[in-house]
Amino acid sequence: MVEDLGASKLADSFGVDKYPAIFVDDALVARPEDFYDWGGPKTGKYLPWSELENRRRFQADLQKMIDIRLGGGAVASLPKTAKSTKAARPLLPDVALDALSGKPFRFADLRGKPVLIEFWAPWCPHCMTTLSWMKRLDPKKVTVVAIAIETPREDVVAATQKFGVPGRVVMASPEVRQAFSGPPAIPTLIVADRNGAIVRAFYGAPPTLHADVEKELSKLK
Amino acid sequence: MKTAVVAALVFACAAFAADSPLDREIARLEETLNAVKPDDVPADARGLFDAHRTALERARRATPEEYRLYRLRDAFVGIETLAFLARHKDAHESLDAFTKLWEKSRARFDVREKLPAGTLVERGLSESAATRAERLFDASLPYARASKPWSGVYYLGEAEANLRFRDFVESIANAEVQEGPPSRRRVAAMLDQLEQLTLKVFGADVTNQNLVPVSVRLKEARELLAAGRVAGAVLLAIEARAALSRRGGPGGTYPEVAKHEGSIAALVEGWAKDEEAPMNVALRTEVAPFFDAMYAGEAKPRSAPKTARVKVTLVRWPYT
Repeated sequence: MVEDLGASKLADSFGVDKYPAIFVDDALVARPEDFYDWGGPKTGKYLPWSELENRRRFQADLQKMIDIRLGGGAVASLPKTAKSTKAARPLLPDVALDALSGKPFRFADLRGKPVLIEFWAPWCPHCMTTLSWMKRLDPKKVTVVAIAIETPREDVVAATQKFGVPGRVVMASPEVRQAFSGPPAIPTLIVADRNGAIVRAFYGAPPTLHADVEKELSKLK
Repeated sequence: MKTAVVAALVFACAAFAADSPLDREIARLEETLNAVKPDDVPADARGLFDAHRTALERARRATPEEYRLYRLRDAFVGIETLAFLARHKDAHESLDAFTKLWEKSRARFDVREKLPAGTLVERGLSESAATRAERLFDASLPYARASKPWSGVYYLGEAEANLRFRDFVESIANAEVQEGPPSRRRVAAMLDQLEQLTLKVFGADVTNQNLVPVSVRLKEARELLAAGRVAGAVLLAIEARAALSRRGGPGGTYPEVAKHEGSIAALVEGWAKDEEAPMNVALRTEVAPFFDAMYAGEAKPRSAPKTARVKVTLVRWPYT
């Protein structure tokens, strides 16, 4: 599918107001700033776009997301399928988490309760809707970790203050991004059990997302 | 006495030729371009004056009329866009002013015209201009927000210029002529084939930006086809094939069919006469057979595609 800037409901729904952008179903895989700085910081995933290596990386990322969609394809450190057996479930990665509160932590520190992770950005309306929905979750029953990506720290702080992002807000370091293989889409939600084992990953923002996550969490109680 | 009569006839013919709609339009555009003050357009757009003047001269020299009208398009749209940019210089620096201008123009772009009559070239140019106008109008506002207000004015001007070109073509189209376009299915099949050739070249070097003009025209041809604007799709398919040839792409293998006469064939031949080697050869040996093949017997329908379980969407600027 090719859609034009100014006439794409999908782009509008993600707050994408420039071009190019790539979606796989309802998951945003690459956004305009990944290819061109648009006058902002040159931090895009595929900059400089003229280099072959960056183009190959984009192709690989796109292929990865297509594989995930088509066959529940495995992504390093993420579950193979929604129905992975307990034995096959990978643990949340052992990486340092740069909390906005100033108190660094690791996923291992959260053991004892299920963990719900969202990779989000203030410019992504679907992410903000999901974070807003997360406020309804009982913090005694689930720990929310909101990992901000592709956004300057000051914008994350401003969004957190304005919208009241629930749980622990974390800036994605390169180490965190690598541990989660990107993540391959925005938004990405990951559900882990009380022992830190990943039970399911959700990519994109289908209409049933919140109900599906609630269902998954209910199984962990 | 004889000399005087011949001279009078020559002058009379020249006067008649100078009075043709295309001549009048070329003269009007020249006047329009001369009236645009460089200071009234942003510095980044001032280099366009010479380019549009060159395009207008090329249109002036072009023959036959089918090719001349085709050549006129770029000059027409470019000059009218510059004139629009100059007329609305008050919106160059202000997003609010541009947004008001955009809102004010909206009604004009909401109108969906009926398909025009005329030759395939006339209908193709008209349909393509109408589609470009719609797409550029939609994209100009977000682009102004993402870039600079004057960029939005530029693209709104290009949208408006396309509407004016459509109106001009429809005003001169010969309503008596109804050239039948190839079938929609056949055009789709030819676009598929052309896309495969293009992807083959691109696959060998994914940094090859030379193929952007091919990709743009393929995309435009597909959107015209999807909108039922078959004449426009045929014209853009021809342009895409020519763009691939110009960039050294493979010639392709097309079924040998009777040479198709008509306005597109005349355009391609006029184009070939206007080009130097090797493009003049490619137009005759690659582009013309590609067009003729659109009239070949119906291609065997492709087997139904497997149910798509994943949809990849690229959001892009309409015409780059």
